[in-house]
Amino acid sequence: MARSNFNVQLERVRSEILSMATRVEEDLLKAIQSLRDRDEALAAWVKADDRTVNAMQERVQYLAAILMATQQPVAQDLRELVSAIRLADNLERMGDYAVHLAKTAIKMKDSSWPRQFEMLGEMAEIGSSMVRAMIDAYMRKDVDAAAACAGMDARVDELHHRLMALTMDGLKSDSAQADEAIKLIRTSGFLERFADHVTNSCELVEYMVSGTHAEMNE
Amino acid sequence: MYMDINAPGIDAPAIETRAMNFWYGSSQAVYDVDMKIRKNRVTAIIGPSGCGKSTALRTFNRMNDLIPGTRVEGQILFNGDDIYDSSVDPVALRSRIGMVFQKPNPFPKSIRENILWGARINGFEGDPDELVETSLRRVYLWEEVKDKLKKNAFDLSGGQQQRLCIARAIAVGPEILLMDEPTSALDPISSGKIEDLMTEFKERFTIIIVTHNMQQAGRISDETAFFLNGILVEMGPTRDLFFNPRDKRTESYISGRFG
Repeated sequence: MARSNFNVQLERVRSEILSMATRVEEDLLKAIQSLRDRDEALAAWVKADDRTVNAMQERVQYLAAILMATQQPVAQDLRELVSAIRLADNLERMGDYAVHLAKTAIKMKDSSWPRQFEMLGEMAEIGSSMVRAMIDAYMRKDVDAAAACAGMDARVDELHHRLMALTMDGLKSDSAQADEAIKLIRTSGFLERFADHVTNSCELVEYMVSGTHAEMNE
Repeated sequence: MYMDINAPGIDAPAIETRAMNFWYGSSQAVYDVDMKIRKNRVTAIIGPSGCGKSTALRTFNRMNDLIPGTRVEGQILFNGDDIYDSSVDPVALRSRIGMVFQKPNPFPKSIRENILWGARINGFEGDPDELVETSLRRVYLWEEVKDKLKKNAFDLSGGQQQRLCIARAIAVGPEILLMDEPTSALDPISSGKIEDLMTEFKERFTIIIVTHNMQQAGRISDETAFFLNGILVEMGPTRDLFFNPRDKRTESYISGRFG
């Protein structure tokens, strides 16, 4: 096949993106596990792993920029590299949200909000499923699968709103817990934003395949 | 979102072909090409070797007439008039539709005579010094050669010779410049100078360039036509064709994945 060197390099960018997405998904799951299990060491591990995710982002963007400079890609090749650069940004932000969750786990290790922790757990699990579905759609250039993945965002939004309402109700009877309630709501907000970034990444699949910008999260 | 090939302005194209077919003897090189070339734009024609792009270019000023056994069918309209009409004088036509070739081909004469020769044939009666200076200034060659106008054109570098050929072509006041791989024999600096000229010249002329260099087509052209096996596969705004081509064959070719 023509342009074999370019194809090899493009495959390398894909492989780096896949590794980065897998890492972010694992960090999110570890962060929620650290919250559930009150595992401070695991939370600290997630915090420290942020450096790895950042390095992966730089790696993807470096490789993509070098390919643009040396291979002058056009059409779908060009759109794929533009998408890879943007996806690496999205994944880096998702990694940051996993770190926020880990920090919350450390700060709230002595708290007892079982219902809210359960909801945060569900949000994180959906978030991690979304990352997996998104990166699968990205690798297969499957716009329908990307749209289906973006559709999961609604459930995360719903959980976020329910968690906020539940926590606010709790405050009415016990305002002494306001500090912790705010931490919970912020953490829920981070997970809600995490899912939004996955949705934005799903939109990149459409951009890569068709060159058009889609709004998958109305 | 993007300009369409059928947007305003294309109603009065500089060149229009209608069902253009072309043969070298019994071998057909171009098939049923309908295309419209916008005035005062740079149009690039791209495609693999043997796709018919240079043949198509050479029909626009009847340069193919000089090759025995060739035949054209269909219509080629220049400002609405059929250039193959029996009343059209091909020599006069070529003064209005000039051509620059792949290899610089100055006449074996002085720099000055290279500019004046074609103009004189076409009945130029103005100030020759002024024509020489103006033509050479337009291609940014004047400062480099003003003290050696009587020297043989072959003393110039390849890039300078090509700019001289462009100056020669524009000295006769054409409306269209056809350029067949005009920079393929030049180094990047000389190529860059000629690319800059094309961008400047489109205010004055319509430019049609055949190029193997897709990056060059992307840099300088407003519209691009992709030929394959004698067929016009796709034509449209360059930015659309290079960012999101409509035809899979175009995508494969411009991505370098052809064959």
